[in-house]
Amino acid sequence: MRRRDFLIHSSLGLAGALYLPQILAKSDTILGHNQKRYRINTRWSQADVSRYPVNDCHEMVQDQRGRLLLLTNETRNNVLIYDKNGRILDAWGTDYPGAHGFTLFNENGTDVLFICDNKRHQVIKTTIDGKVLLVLDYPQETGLYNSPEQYVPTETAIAPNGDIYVADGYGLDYIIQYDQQGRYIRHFGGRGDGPEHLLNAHGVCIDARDPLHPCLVVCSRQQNAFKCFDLAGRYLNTIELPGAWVCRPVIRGDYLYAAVLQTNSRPWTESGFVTILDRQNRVISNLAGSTPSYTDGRPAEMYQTIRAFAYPHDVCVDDEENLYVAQWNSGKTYPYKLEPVV
Amino acid sequence: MKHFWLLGALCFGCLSALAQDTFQLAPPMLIYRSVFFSKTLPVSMAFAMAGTHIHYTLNGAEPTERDPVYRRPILLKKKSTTLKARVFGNGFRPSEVVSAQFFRQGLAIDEVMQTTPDQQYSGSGHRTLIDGQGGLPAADSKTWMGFRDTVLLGLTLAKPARVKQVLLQVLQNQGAWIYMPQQVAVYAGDADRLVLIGTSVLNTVQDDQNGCRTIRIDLDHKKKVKQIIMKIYPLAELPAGHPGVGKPAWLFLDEINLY
Repeated sequence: MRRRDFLIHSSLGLAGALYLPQILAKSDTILGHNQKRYRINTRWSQADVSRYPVNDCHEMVQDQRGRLLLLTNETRNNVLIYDKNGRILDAWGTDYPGAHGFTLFNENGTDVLFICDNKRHQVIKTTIDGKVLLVLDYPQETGLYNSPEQYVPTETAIAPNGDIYVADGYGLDYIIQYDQQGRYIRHFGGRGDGPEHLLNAHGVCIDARDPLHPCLVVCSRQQNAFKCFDLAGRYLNTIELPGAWVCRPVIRGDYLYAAVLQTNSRPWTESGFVTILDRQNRVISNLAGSTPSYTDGRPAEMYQTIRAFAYPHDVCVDDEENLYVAQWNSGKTYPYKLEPVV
Repeated sequence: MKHFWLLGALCFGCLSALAQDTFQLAPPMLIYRSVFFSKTLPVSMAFAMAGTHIHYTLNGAEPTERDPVYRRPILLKKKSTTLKARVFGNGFRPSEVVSAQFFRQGLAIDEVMQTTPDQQYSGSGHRTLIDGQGGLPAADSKTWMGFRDTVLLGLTLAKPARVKQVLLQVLQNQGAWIYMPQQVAVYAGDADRLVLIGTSVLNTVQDDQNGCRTIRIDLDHKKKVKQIIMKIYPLAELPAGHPGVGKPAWLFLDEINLY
């Protein structure tokens, strides 16, 4: 081989190592059970780490233009905006050191974002490109908080009427409800021994699968459960998920998706997976987790089976039913994409 | 020139193949009520994933695919058994090995008295350390008593006996500031005087294996005794590199047996 050819071919090889076409980067591993099975792609993100670094990847949402927005607590770019093929389209945000909760709301046709910053002890509403619209400070109105430090918000959910529900998931575990302008309405939850109490209220969402009875689904993560409330904060019921530290519920169609940060059987050892519940809130699939089974209506203890994820923190479901999984404390990994297997 | 392109394509193919993920399986669940038992103890294992098998050993060896496949609960009878298990499955790397040590209980102990544990980790009553319950690695399990100071402990045997060995079960979870003790001293009790009959000095700082751990101390005492007194010293200073460097470590204790 002549030197020139050798150079040509070795540079081709190098190009292959740097840029993997999506079709080749896909793994053969299929995760999940029943009608919810996915092929995992751990190399979905094409972000250049030197230009678009991440720290913890906390949450992801899809906007009405089909773009995928990732929230990270890396203040060089708190928000990374991807297309569905993992290419970076845009990035913004340098003011959110504790960027954690990320909720998108369609406000009369316009996408707006709500960021929970657990270092600033604030909730910040922004436009889709990062212009600040509203800042919610710690909820003095409740009479429960003496200082901002007690308030460590982790998530918001926005009701169809614009009401804002904030989960103080690393603070005092209350859910605080505000109107669209940010005026305090009420609070509920908090710690205690009752069924309506919460321990690590890490996530919250609006569940409108039954359109006549929309409700709130709230994490009580250390109790391995979701707890349901009506939109006025009255406790309804508990969805037990033994063993699973469930992060925020994400609802699409008939299903509820949630990242499980880790499991009781192997705490703090990267034992996470992703769980999917059907319309009756029964577990039907665990991605990289144990095959779901029920005895007398109660699910068996759940645990990780495949070490595909370390500490998954959120699931985003796009308009084509693909999943994107963002992870906390997992070696600064970018999100994984999971495509449905039919 | 044509075959050079082929070579290039081959290189590309190899790199792409390397890029495929081969995931590791997670370790199986071991299910038991306690690692201590009086006559026999059933132990179960679980791994709910089609196409996988749990292989296990009871002799301390690392399980391979040639070792028995777990099918039904195992009944343990021996004085001490080390169970090691691991999951194998096609298309995946085998899991890490998970292990647990099980012990038949020792001489009957009537009473135990010890330094008051920390309020947050106070166990489940005054018999916590002799109730036969232990070996659950979660620090918030009610089987554990947590201490931050030197523990003074007295055991009264049901009847006088020659005691050859003390077995202490402790927890190590260094991220949670829980370390093996630095030193244990064992005394034979007598109304007038105490005789030191055994000690154990542990190299706490270099031992970083987390989980339930046992400390066995062989005793050098020929006479029958009714009482055993022990002093257990927690690690006085967390080592360099630990976020709590210089501060005292926690000591977690869940069971004591005499043989």
